[in-house]
Amino acid sequence: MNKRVWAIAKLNLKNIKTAYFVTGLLLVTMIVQIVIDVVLAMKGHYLGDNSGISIGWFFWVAVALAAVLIPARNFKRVANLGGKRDGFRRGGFTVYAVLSGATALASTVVYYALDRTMFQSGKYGYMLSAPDVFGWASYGAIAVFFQQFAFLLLFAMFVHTLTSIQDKWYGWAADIAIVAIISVFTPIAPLRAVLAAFFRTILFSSPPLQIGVCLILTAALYALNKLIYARKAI
Amino acid sequence: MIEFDNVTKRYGKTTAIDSIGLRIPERGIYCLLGRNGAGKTTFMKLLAGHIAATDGTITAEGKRVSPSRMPECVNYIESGSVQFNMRVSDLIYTAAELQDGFDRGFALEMAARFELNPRKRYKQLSFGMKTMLTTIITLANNTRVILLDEPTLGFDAIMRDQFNTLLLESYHAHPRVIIVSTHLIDEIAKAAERLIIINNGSVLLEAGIDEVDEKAYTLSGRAKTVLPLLDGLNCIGKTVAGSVMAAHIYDERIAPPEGVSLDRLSLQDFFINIVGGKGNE
Repeated sequence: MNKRVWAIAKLNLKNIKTAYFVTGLLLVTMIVQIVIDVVLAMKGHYLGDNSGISIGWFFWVAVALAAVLIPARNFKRVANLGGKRDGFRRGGFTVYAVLSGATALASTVVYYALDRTMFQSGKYGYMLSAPDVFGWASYGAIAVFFQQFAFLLLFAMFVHTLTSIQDKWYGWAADIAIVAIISVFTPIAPLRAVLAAFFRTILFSSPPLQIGVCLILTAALYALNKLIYARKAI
Repeated sequence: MIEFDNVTKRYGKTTAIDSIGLRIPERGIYCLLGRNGAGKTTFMKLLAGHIAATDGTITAEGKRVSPSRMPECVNYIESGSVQFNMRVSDLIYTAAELQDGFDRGFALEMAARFELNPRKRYKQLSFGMKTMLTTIITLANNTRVILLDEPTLGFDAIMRDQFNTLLLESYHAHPRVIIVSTHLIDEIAKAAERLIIINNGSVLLEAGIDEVDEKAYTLSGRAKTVLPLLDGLNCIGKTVAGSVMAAHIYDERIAPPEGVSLDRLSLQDFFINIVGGKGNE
């Protein structure tokens, strides 16, 4: 990898402290809740009816916040240190790949070490986890990791792209279009089917299809970013 | 080396740069002057490829400049620019990682000379020190064109003097085009060789400082004696107090008749008169 691209990636990773802080805070809150549940269960309280969301989801917050902070806050700062547009685009993508990988790994570990061992006994209630919700767990641990990684990478690139164009009219147009698509497509059955098919493909389908489609869409967004950043004012 | 060919930049209905044509053929320290909102920052951003021109073409070293083709030979950091809240030393090290040809030794030496505490974070620095750090990071790059936008903003008199020394040292170490935008005309004149004056988005004047020094003068005396002398001269401003008149001229020097004195016009007064003087002709 280009030395300058890696330098920008490192700079971005160091300067998304808000994302780390919020994620950390959420994780601590969840851990405290789990500790309380364990203590209550040990004292004989029945928690079988409890349900909650898995810690694994909270790692996703870091990816989402990073994808907002990097284009909104870091772009100008990187440029002010002499970073180039293309380096920023590539450096940003590197960060999302690293964060998506780390998040997918942490979430997979949490799923197998905590959600499946501890909560599937029913003794501490039930945890809603991404691999169960999207059906990734039925293809094994490697699929859980890669399917999550591919989706998170697509999600990060989507949020990054949308944030990058908010200072332009077409950014606002994209916001309106997204809201319009969801609100118009949802009540009309044939259009709802199209929307459902899209989300089914990028979230619920078999690993080769889901990973393939996510990576193709990620590549398309990455290419689109080249156009966006070629015109973006510093 | 640098060429603006009929360049216009509009922000909505506002024209910031209006059909500028300018050539900067050789190395040197250029002082870019203009009132607030005259278009200095827009001029620099266009040259650095930070923004796109609405019309016209800009070339640097023969290559066309645009946001998609930011020139490698130009280095520009906006004044009052936002920076990561990192330690001074980390910002310098990071700039060195991001820029080819960044002279880290020079940057660290200058930071030490200007008593920038390397352990302080950016937000802990005073306004003047923030500007100094940005200026050092810009100057430490060995690109062939350096653009400094209000580099002495927030500096005290001593720092401004040190800045001139820094500018000259940097230029002598790496002769290149350095364009400095400032309002402190007389101070930058100690270092600059040429003057570019922008007014209302247009280039009003591009000349050597020595040439301006030679051609800008004031004729003072009784109005009825001074007025006839102005025929054929480029009078850029007049001040009348009773029967006495001071006429500010930008033209070849004349031998004043008895009763009329000829005095050098400071660069500051020259600038005031040429961009906003009353009685311009």
